[in-house]
Amino acid sequence: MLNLLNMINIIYNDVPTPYSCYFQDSATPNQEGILELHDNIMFYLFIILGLVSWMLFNIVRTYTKNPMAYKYIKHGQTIEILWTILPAVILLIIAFPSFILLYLCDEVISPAMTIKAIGYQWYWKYEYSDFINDNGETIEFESYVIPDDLLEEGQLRLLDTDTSIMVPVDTHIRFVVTAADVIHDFCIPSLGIKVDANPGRLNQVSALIQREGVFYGQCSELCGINHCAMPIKVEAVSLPKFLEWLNDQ
Amino acid sequence: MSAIAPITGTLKKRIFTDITIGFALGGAMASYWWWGFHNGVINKREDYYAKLAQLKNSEE
Ligand SMILES: [Cu+2]
Repeated sequence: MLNLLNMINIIYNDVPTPYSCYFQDSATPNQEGILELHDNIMFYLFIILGLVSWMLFNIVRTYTKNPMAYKYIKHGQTIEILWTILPAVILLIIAFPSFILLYLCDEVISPAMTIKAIGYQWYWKYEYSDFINDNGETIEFESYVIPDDLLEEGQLRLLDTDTSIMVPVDTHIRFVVTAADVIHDFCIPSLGIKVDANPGRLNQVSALIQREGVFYGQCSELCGINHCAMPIKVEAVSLPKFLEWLNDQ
Repeated sequence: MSAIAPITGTLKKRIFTDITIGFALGGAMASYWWWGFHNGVINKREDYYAKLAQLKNSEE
């Protein structure tokens, strides 16, 4: 019963919810673009689904009554051309916006700050390389999952972490992603980020978070026994609050 | 002359109605997806951001 109640529980964070379909709410222009492309492609897919299902249904339905329908067809030039060109056109219609979005998301234009995310078995380590503390060291910290038996009321199992990435809203942020042992994947659905963390290699993505909130993600490349237990938690706050947090580090 | 007249034209007779109905069916589903579902999601989001912008403006 408690589980059933949890299903209709309203969570004001950007998290995966039980039995949810579709996307988590977007928070960056990148994710909005991804959503738009997905819905566009789905539009064409629905048309194809309708046509194919109807034809299949009809062929099955009339099969016994009308065995002659295809008797005199040995070769059909016109129909061959049609069923080659039409799918190609549909693919082109899908491919163009897809490539535009891909290259747009790849672009990292003048980021205001850079956060380095390093994947370890099985936790993330974050470095704020742009800032140094009083001792002249860069700000860096590890982020571990909160174990099930230490979860407090309201915390999310396998999603909440002890420390989270703090970022200011309306700021161009660059994530430089890498790993120290095996391949991990830095993924935050609401921000439209999913980038592999390879050892010995740097990948970068940018994010412009448009609203305050807590965004959750999970390691998205199978990386070992505790792959499920290295979530990513991003807290987007206003700039003054972010500076306040920075001062405390 | 054969005893039974050759059966021809069965494909052409059917193909136009079938394709039309097929596309109509698909078009209906796709239209619902785009205008019935997608646009609602986008409008909700745009409303949220418009409200947010208004809130930010009033604070300044
Ligand atoms: Cu991992």
